Amino acid sequence: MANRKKKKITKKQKEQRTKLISTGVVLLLVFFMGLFLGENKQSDLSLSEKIEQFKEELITIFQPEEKKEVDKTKNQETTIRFLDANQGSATLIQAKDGTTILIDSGRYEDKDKKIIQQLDEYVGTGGTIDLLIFTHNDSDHIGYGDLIINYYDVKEVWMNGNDATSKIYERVLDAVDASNAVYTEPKTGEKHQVGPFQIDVLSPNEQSDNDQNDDSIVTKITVNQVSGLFSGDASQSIEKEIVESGADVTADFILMGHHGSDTSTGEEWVQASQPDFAVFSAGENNSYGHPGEEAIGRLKKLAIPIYGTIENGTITLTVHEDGTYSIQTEKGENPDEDDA
Amino acid sequence: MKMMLEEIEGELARFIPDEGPVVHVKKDSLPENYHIGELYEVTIEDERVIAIKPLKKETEERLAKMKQKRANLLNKKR
Repeated sequence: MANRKKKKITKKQKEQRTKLISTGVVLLLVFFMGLFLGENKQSDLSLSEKIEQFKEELITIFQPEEKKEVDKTKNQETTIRFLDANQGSATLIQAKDGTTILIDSGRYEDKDKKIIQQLDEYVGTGGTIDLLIFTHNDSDHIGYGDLIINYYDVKEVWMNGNDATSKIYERVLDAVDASNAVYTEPKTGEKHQVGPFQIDVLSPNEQSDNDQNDDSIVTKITVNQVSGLFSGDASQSIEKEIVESGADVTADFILMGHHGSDTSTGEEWVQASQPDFAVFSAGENNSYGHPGEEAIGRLKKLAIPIYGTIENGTITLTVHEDGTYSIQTEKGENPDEDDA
Repeated sequence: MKMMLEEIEGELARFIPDEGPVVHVKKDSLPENYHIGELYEVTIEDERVIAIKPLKKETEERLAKMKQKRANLLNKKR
């Protein structure tokens, strides 16, 4: 194979080459400046002002990308979807800047893997989930959690630290281990900022209740001054404990605990949170009788509108930048008009 | 078939098998001193539950294994 020798050039040739490149750059700049000044509709600007504006535009073009990023802690439009997960629970929270939180991942025996379809639609195949919270380790809350961790770019996983003996739970632990996600077991009193979301952890305590439901991770999530309570399957005794602890549980909405079961959404919880509306996630003709009549009655007594995935399918709450919000349902009537 | 007793809601007990869909059993059919979260060998014939036997040793072994896996995750440096 023939060796290629680098061609040597004289000092004079080097100077000529530099001059040629400089002239080219100047000509290009003059060309773009001409284009800009020619296109500029603000004819009232003086030539020096136009040149200043041109300089600013050039700076903007060459500015590093990160300087253009949104301030993640500022108000921004957010979508909270209470996904139709049949007799399971899954809530997807997404801010305009892309910050994404998923609370629970629905049932494990859903053959259509609806949760994956929904995430593909809203997060995008292989998209980023900044925080995945498994409130507790029952199979109707961690279903396909392993696939979600495998398929998507999950940055952090929260679990309650109360071990189950099911293979579903083991698969989730294995998936977290095989991923790059940070694993955390949050406790009462912790405060976290994830993008624009302020997350207050209300339960569990360091001392486990040794009950999967009552060890649920209970959070208050606030964005644009709008707050929601997510209590997993925690029972009324835990709700009462939280209220009596003096924690601020006032919220604009609540996701009813334990799929709207009578064992949750107690009077103290409702009185203390004073929600504008409530949501429950339960499947049609479920064998548990969710939502419970008593739990529904406690909310109706206070004229609090109730949305349910049974009648409404996926319920979408859009929180606007100014702190106002609107609710859309996939199907059914708007209970705000019926019950309020 | 090995199943975990996951929850009792009203009169129904919910079992989660290692593989396959949820199995619901009447609460009355559970053995005495049952424990939520415990593993059981559940024998089903013609869609009828014939026997439910606790697997105490395997429950303990699995809990120890899960605890270890979780400890590894908590200690993992990212």
